[in-house]
Amino acid sequence: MFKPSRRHLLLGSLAGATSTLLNPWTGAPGAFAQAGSKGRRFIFLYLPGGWDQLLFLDPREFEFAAADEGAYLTEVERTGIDTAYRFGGYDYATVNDYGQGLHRPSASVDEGFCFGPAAVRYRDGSPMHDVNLVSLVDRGIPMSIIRGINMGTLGHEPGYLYFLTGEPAGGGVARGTSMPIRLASQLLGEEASPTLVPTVALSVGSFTGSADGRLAALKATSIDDLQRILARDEALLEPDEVEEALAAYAERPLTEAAERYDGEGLLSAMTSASMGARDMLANDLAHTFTFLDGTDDVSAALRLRYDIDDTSKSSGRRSAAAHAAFAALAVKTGFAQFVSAALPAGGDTHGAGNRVHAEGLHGAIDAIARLVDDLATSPADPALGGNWLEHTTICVFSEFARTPRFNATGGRDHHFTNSCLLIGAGLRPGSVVGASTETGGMAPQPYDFVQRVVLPEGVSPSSPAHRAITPADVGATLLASAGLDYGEYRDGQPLWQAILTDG
Amino acid sequence: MKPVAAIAGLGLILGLVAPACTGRIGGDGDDLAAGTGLGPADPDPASRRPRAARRLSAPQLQAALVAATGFDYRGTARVVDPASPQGSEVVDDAKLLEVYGGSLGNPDYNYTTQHDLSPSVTFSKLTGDAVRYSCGLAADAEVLQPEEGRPGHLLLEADRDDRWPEGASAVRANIVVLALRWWGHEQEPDAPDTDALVDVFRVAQGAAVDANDAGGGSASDDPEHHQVAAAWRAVCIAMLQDPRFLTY
Repeated sequence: MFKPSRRHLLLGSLAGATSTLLNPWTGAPGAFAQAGSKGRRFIFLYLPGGWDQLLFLDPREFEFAAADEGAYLTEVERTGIDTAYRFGGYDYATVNDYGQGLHRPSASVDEGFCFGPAAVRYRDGSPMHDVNLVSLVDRGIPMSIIRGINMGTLGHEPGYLYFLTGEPAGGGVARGTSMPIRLASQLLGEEASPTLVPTVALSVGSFTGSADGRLAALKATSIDDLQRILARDEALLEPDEVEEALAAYAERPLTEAAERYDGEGLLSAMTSASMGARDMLANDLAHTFTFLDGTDDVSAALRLRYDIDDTSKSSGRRSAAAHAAFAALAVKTGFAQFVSAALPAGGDTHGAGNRVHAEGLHGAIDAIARLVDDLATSPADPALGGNWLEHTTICVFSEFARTPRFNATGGRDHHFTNSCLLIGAGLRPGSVVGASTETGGMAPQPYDFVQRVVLPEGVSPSSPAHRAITPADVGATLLASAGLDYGEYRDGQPLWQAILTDG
Repeated sequence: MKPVAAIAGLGLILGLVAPACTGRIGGDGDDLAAGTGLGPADPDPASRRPRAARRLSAPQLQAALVAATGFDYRGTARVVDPASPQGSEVVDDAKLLEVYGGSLGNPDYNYTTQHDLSPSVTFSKLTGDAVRYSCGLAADAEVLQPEEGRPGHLLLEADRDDRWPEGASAVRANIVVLALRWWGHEQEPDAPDTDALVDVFRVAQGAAVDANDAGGGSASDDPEHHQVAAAWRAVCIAMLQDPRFLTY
């Protein structure tokens, strides 16, 4: 007789309380094509520190064809790429934990669609987790890998700001507007957001630029900070009529004296933000994100679902798992339409081999898989229909990648050829766009934006349409996936092969 | 450096500096540009584009709040503590603008080095908390403390006995001097900005009277001064949340 375990009870309570269905997702990929763009949600997941693309989105397989280490080293010299998945001096038994080869879905996908070793962790020869990126692709969940992105920088801050905005940063200063704000600006127009706040950014920057101040992100560096932001201590509240008088004062039009001081609209933007804060407090959101400490079954089930470790420690409270659970809750509870979150992935490590990067990356990748599974098995708002993932596009990125060869201390340094992963609504399932070179140490391979193919290696660009993919192209692709005007990216073109819409 | 080059360099420096050393830094009718030879002067100061304002960073806000009210924003919070086995500890008397500095835009000096000074809902909400906390303590200290204990941050032109409407002129005069002190802004006692703050004063004093009449007053032994404290607390909150205090 089946006896429910504590795990079953907790997951069951989560299903009841949040209307989450726990049966495997069975929706047809076609459902994603019908997702209306007006209600589209976007999640941006930033893995800080620069990720190793050989371990995740841009792996190589020549190592597995090599008969022995000598043959492998010959290939390393030919390609300028030292994967060290199983040969080489810097592999500390990574192969035992991350499998014997690259991870390919069984589903029909573009040639070359596969993940590197860090995507799936093994124990005793079997995947540790049933839910992983490969199994999700096999369940029909759309994913698109974009490779060969030229970051044009090896600095953390400029690379991070470039991907956030789609425009090259001026040193450490962002130019332009964050992608979520651009999307919000076009999707919402003059209308109010269908969610309680339009944009939220957890431990990620957000730049409003010249966009409407009401779209400015609610920013916090941790879930603890966010809880403090969402509620006001009763001791700090004034009587109702005084609160109204304070609000009337704060929201009155600028007087002539103040206007003269408002050269670039900062004071007006601050007034908008003040109104946004007042609206937010009126919604009594204090209990939305209490899952780290909550003793209720819903919180416990969420911690279990995301495998959130010891929350008495900072590392647990700020883990990739906790931040992924936050992102899912933000969408499922109708808190925000545009969600950004950092998923700690081991950080900026220069002095260790594959294992350190693989373990850091895998923690974040596992959290992403759980987030995708959560959204794909949770019924969306009835007005939208289907499940939440059918209405959500996820963009996973980092500021740059790691070098294809090891440095003198056995680690990998910063490398400008990057990749990103798109998941969910509006995407063509199993698509791969762009490439890094097979030889010459993973340089960005020029892409033909007219023919929509990667230029063969050794063929020189002969037209302005032949160039490396950049973060601006990723931004334009996201706008185009929702049927929006991508022309505001002066240097960006959509990668049509990654999305369902066609231009 | 050769003597000729040194003399030429000194001449160039003097040439650039001398016209600026007039003791004047602009103002109505000032013809600064004409004096420097840098281009034609703008004859109409009103047509000049206002300069770009800049939002206070979290450390600047903290310092400004202490200078304005005499009180830091403190409370219970989980504080990062590398010496702790947990990596953080819950502290009762934490400086909250430091605790939430990251959310207010402080760089982490790991992946970012620039302050994020954009206006945001987060900045507005946390600033509101900080201002309410510090203004509450400042108003109580100014109005309810014995005279020798009053720090003199809030009541500069008014007395703790000045209530609305009897003390109207003192209330207006105090608002005018606070505007100068906190915003660097000269305004008249009957300016629209003064009127708007007088409204806040009146509503807050009235609410405290109502609360006292209903038996909910916080100090039945000295209700009038508690009403004055509530009124100045509200004015302080309004003025310190004004973008003119939060920018420079």
